[in-house]
Amino acid sequence: MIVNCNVNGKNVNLTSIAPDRRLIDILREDLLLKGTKEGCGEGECGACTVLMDGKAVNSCLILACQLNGHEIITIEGLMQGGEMDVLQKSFIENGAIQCGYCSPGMILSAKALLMTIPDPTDEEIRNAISGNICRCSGYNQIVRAIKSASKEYLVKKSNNDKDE
Amino acid sequence: MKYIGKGYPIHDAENKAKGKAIYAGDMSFGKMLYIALLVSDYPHAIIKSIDVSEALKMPGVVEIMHCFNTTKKGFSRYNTTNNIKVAEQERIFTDHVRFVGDRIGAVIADDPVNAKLAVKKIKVEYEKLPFAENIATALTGVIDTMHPEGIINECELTVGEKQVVCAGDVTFHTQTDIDRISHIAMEPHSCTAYYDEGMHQLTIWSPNQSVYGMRYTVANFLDMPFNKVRIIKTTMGGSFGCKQECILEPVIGYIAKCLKQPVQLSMTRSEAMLSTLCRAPIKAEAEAIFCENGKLKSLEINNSLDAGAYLGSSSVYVKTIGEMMVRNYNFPYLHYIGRSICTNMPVSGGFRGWGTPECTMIMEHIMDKAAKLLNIDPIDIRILNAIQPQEFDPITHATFDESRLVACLKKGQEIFAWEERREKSKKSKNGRYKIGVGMACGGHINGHYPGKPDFSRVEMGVNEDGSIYINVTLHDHGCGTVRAMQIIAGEVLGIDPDEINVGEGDTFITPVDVGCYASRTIHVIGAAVEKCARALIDEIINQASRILDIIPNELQYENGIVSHKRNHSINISLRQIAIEVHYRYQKSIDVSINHISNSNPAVHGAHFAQVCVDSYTGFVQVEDYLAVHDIGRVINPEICVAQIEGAIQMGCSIALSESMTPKNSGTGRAVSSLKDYHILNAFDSPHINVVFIEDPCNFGPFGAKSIGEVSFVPVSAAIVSAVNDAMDSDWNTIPLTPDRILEWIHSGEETNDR
Repeated sequence: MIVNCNVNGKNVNLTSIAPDRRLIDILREDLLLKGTKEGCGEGECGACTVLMDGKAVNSCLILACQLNGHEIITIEGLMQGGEMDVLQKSFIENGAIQCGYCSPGMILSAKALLMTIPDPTDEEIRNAISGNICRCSGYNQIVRAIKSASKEYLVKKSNNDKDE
Repeated sequence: MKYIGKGYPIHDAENKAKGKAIYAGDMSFGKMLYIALLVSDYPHAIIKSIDVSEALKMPGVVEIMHCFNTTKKGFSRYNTTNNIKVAEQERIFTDHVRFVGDRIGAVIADDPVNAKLAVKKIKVEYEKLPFAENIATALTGVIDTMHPEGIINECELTVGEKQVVCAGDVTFHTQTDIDRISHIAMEPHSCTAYYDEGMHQLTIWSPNQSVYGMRYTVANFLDMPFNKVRIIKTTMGGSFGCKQECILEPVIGYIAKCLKQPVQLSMTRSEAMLSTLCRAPIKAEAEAIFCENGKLKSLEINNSLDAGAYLGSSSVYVKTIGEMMVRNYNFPYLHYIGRSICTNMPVSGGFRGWGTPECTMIMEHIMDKAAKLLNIDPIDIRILNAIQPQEFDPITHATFDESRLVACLKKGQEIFAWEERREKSKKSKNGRYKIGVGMACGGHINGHYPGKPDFSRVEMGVNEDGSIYINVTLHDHGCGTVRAMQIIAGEVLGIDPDEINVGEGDTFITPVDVGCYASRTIHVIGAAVEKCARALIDEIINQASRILDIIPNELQYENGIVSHKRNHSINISLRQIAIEVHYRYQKSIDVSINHISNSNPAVHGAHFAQVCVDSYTGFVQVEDYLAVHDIGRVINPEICVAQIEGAIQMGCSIALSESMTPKNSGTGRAVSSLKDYHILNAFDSPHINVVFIEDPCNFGPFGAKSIGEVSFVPVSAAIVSAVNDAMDSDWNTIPLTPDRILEWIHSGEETNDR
């Protein structure tokens, strides 16, 4: 089948693609976006999380036939103008990255959260990342990183509002 | 301290945050081929035939290899050095499958999805054989002929003199039952390989814990000269022990050598759980004698470990469980019998702590039980029996050096408000929710000394801009050991850690080393790096002396500048020295050293947990947790805390929910999906407090000791202790799942009713 979607701001036209090809395989094998990681292939670990129309989804559970007209953001698409996203910086600064295999998915789950709840409580943060497994940490650095990013976003937003 | 103790992100954090870090399964070389494995569906069978005709018709299939068209040569995943000689029971593809998940063959195709689809089209005819899902069945003799060497390996260990029971002594029996668990490193096993035909050279990129160990096994297996086998350690998405044994490397090496094209093998989660290695289930019986005053007098342990289908490291692992007993307490008498028994379950192997968490589960339960019987506080009985600084390991005779077990216990007792919490927990026994407060302590090691060779080579030099390179065979598991080496060298040289480059294992570039296991990285390799940095300062001064024409004794080095001791206006920077030496004397500024470890100090953690058990549902919530660690010196505090918290999260998860034992027995198929293998998530993680006791020991870099494994050692035991306090029970079986707890509650009620 033919699939038209948008990945990281670019229109992507996938011709003669199997309708049951998984989004993670399209991203990794066809578009060579290797930042999306496969941890379980059944939606249990969250390593392959990407944003689909702003919502966090497991790319191992989304098939090609579900992609037409949708917008996908992967970890590679989070940077803007060569600058890391506030969340990416915050993960680095707060010691929230160890082996790094869960990090892209974790950061995107956090991004989806902050896009809907800009100032989440600890509980909301833990809930939002409860589908992302990290085996290296006890999640505390990750929660702290998301919390600190949320504060920075809010400051940025209020500065932007003032400018407007 | 300028850099030590400050706190840095791990060296490649930015790449990881950007999704740019390259793991073995992310590598790509033009025309790549992808491998998908065909594994056994039966726990024990002979393969009668394999029909690949349908699979060969699938799109993109290049080759199908299997037990009938490949080598029959055996290997052992554990034989990674010349001094380990375990029977070579494993084949890359076997016609005698011994567990569900055993490798039979592989499809090699142009796309990973195509390869997996083709595997499903292969028809395998099995002749089923009797199988054993557990030790009890194996001991009935049904699989006695599975391996020519037999299925049982036994070891025995004795410390001290046999003791007699005196008046006032208490004697008791305990039973420990630990389930099979999986490491669940977030990156499933993966590797990439290429055979260069013209150079007759094989290169394998894999996340492993010893490039030289992998080379030893692969080169011997493929009958290749060592100089033609290059192993490169890639970014590792966690190991916890699962990437320490040589499992996929011989397979991919063989395939690459046959096909002479770049090949990649990335396991699925199910394959990583079934077909690599897991932590063995154990069943241990113990007989203990304690004096009336709480002094441990005698301990006799009989431990059986389920090795799984191939012996691998199990005979050594089961022995270690006994040996590690002595790293916390003094034993007038210890007698340990360990047995590893092969079954038809996934292969057992190394797991974080290498037997010590299991040893601690047995031992700490005994301490709790003795404390209860003798009406002594659990902390007091441990203090009474604790090893003391400068005592000696009775088995290896190495000094414990600055052991701080008692200090950890006392500190934890105070910070956790132990007495107060225990009193409170006593009052919570009547309601639905029962609070429990427990603790455990664990001791571990710092490398192989003196049991096995334990040395590291380091080369270090100055680049022309004054920055530093370190060539050392490191294998960062993802916990920041590269960063730690930058910090250690930075501290000695007075140079920002970011100006220091540290290599990781590559058998063509980095020097020979025994590998990153046994918690030796910081204590041994770190000490080597410190020593080498000090040697580099001497060399820098020598070279500056030539340039300035001043004798070395008159010069001093500080923060990248060599100056005259009495006249600081005479000085020269590292950059200037490097350039001068390059162009005037036509050499580089570098040194290399060989460090042989001569120490293995005791290293401890005392852990304290408060749990809440819901007696209606059987659900256990870990409410609060304190870990006190005798670490010598903290190199990178933030990451160190993150790593310890990860160990606690992992240990809680293993104590409460993780199990590979199938719900319905009889199929021989272990749990191989995260849908059925439950890991505590962010929502279940406890509040954790980590406290360090920083008394530098007399060895190691700046007195630093290990942390990665010891932080995991006491966790499950502490959770069991807290649950037993909550329920006034005497369980030592993990995981303590809600089902299991409810079953016990109900069986207890029945007993009471009678």
